[in-house]
Amino acid sequence: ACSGGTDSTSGSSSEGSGEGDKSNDSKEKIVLKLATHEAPEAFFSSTVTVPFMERVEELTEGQVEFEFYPSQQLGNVSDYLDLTSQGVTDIAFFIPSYTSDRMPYSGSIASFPGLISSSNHGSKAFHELIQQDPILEEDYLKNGVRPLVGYVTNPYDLFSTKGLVTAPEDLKGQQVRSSGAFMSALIEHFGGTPVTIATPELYEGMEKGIVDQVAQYSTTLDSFGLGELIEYGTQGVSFGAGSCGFIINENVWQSLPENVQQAMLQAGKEVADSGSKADDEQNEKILAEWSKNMEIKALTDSEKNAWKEMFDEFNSSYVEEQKASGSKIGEVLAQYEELLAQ
Amino acid sequence: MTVAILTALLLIFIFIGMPIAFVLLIIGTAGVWLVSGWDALMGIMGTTAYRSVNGFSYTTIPMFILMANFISKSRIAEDLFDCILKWIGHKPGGVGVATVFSSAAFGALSGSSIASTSIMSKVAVPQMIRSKYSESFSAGLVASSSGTLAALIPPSVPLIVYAIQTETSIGSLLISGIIPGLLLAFLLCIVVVAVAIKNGSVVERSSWNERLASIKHIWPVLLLIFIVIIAIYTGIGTSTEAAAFGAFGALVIGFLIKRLNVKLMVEALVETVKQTCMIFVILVGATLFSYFIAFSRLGNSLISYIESTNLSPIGVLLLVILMYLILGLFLDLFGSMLLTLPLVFPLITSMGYDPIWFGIVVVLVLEIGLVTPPVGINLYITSQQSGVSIKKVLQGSIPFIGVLLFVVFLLILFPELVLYLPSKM
Amino acid sequence: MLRLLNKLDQLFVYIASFALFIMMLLIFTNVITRYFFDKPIAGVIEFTGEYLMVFVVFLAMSFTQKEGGHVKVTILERMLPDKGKFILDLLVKILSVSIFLVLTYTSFLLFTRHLNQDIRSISSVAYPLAPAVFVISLGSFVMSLRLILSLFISSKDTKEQVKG
Ligand code: NA
Ligand code: NA
Repeated sequence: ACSGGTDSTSGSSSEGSGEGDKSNDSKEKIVLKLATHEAPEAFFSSTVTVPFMERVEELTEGQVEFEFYPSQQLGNVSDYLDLTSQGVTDIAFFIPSYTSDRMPYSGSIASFPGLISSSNHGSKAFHELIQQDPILEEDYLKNGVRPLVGYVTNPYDLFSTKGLVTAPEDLKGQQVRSSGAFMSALIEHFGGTPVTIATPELYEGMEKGIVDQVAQYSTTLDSFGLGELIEYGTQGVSFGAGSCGFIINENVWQSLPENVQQAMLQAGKEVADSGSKADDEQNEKILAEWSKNMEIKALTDSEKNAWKEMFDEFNSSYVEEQKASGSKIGEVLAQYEELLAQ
Repeated sequence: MTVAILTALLLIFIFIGMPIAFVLLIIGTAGVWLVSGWDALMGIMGTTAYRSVNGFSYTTIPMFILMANFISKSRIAEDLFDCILKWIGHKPGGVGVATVFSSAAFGALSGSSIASTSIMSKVAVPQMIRSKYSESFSAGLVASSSGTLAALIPPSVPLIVYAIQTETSIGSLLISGIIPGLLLAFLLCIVVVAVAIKNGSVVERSSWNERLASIKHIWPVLLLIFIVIIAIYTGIGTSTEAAAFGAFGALVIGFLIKRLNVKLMVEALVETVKQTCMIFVILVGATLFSYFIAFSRLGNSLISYIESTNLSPIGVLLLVILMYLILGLFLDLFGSMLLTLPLVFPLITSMGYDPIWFGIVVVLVLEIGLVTPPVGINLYITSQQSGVSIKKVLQGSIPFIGVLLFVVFLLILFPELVLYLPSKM
Repeated sequence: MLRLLNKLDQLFVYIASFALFIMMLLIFTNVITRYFFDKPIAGVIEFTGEYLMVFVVFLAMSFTQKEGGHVKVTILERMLPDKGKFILDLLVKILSVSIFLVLTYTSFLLFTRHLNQDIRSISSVAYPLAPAVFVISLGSFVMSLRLILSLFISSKDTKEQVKG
């Protein structure tokens, strides 16, 4: 049969049905749908997505099998939270900042600037952070999903076709590409003008000079072919970062035997670590390649400190502002910083 | 089994002439429901409708259609044709060449193949007939090529829809249509000149005064082309924004030369809303349908089946083109494209073909479907606007369909014709 | 009833046209203020997709249906006997009505969820999205009404020669 969607546990993914087998040592075969927006050959797929599936299959000795839906086959990445909570897919990739209205903390916490030194540094802490309250309850369980993998990108640096930014003052009056409300506030804090440009138009936006600076990291920019445009870049600003990961439908999770749950948690933790390490290496590699024909400036410690001072000021004022509306972002930030220090 | 029955139903619905948006919605809904259950269907339907329209780059579609409608209402194409005619009309095949040139120039302003066909049928066909081209040849030329030129030369709504559906770069696709468009125009000129020499058709030579006077009338066209080029190719805005720029420019120019008024503007807006709505309802249906394709694993099965037959990539490509020619009999361009791309696009790219190149080939092949009965919108439009019978339009289109197929053949042979410009971007 | 629906459609299509006009002006103005004054308008990129496109597409569905935009008659259908044509027409309409009723229902659920959870735009101007989702449901509902009404009106009314 060319259809495989209705057998086994996929059937139990419908909301509130809970018909799954709960006995702990059940060896019944479990088939789980996993959806992602990227092609199977893309970097993240090959360092995180596919290894995660393989590791779970290995740890459960083949009890769990995945039905893989890459390349947006199951729709747009912005909808993956809905599609997972409604049982269209069992597991999906997610980018919390795309659904920041329902995941108030997971996206913004990674966006705080000046906190992390590498993807691995951020990912290990973030993966732990989202398994704890309040973030677990507020961002995930409330939405009917549970996090399996938490991942933070490389810290963002500032890339440009026009000029190098080394000190915080340099951003004044520049048009900086923004990807959301948090980033816009941050850009304005430095006296820049946030310009929203949809990701598919990023290349055009840079090529035509619609934006002066783009806060991103090399692997992403490279995948959009921006390597051929960029002429200047910093190394070590840490202008925030992005977060993503995998979520599973909570009913499906509850229906899984304990050995499978354990296997998934273990696999999730492992790939968050190994995947982010690979990301850091990739970043180094691309920057080394880039510095052959563009100016990549590694910031000195004193330059970094100048940024750090401004960042701290922004972070605490942002937390203070949010407190008024009953946000727990201050608490979450403290937890995150503690985990980062470990 | 479910999949087989639904596929059969799909073909029956298309064959009996059910609107494609409804076919896609019905089969997509039934498919998701039967393959993945009611809850999955509810989840998908909730997000699909909103997601299918919610995107900044989607605004290019209504904006380019709006621009085309403002230009139509301003009757700018008439001036353009008149001017070109005065300059070259007296040469052998001059009227035919003027028709091709105007179609290409108007195509550079209009993203809509329907708008172009409609205007050129009204303006150019009567002139061609007067200068001794046969009715069927004149109407056939316009029916088969005016719209195709508009769809290839940027801006182009069909190419944008392809880009959105396949996540290919809009900018690259638009640029890559230029050379194939000019190539087609060149080949068409050869045909019309050859036929004109055979028929001995001529037009009176216009005086230099008349020629110079006619230029005065086309400054709005030149200005508008200039605005759009400025907007697209300089740093003012992205290509998405350029569409709104063009629409706004067309509106302002229309009012400046007193060809537009509030009533005509509202008509153009309503017409655009209608055409936009039509395209996006098909898009909603197609999105739903592609969920069904994904869940049924039809795409994967198809790819592995074709791999197992050891068919060469060129064999697969020719089969796909044949399929599009057949589909084109029954469906309009957007319908065929959105129905098949979820299956065909991964197949074609897995064979190593370039996504941008394939976009141009698909649009070119599907434009042929617009002049083939029973469903051939350009056939009906040309007949209606020019007063030439449908049968004669169809007869006259046949040699030009040959030209279009020849261009497809050249693009297969020399993919650089498509890929050279985007590689220089 | 039909007359009332036609009036409603007329109103909706004018609202949709107005949204289209605003879309053009907003994008144009955003480019101008960004390019010449370094002051882009916050939220334009998001608002055009989240609101204006929704208005243009979903409010105009029923009107477009009425004007024959979604319908095409083919030579094949002309070849069918009258009875066959009637049954076919009925089948297509019943199926279409069901789909648009489901769409009305699911988008209404989505609307209540947007309302209850106060889901907002991700742009820096965090306006609520519930009204936009409501428009999807409303447009689908009116479309369902139009299709239901057409069940009771002779099929000749829905036929439409293809025109430019
Ligand atoms: Na065009
Ligand atoms: Na056709």
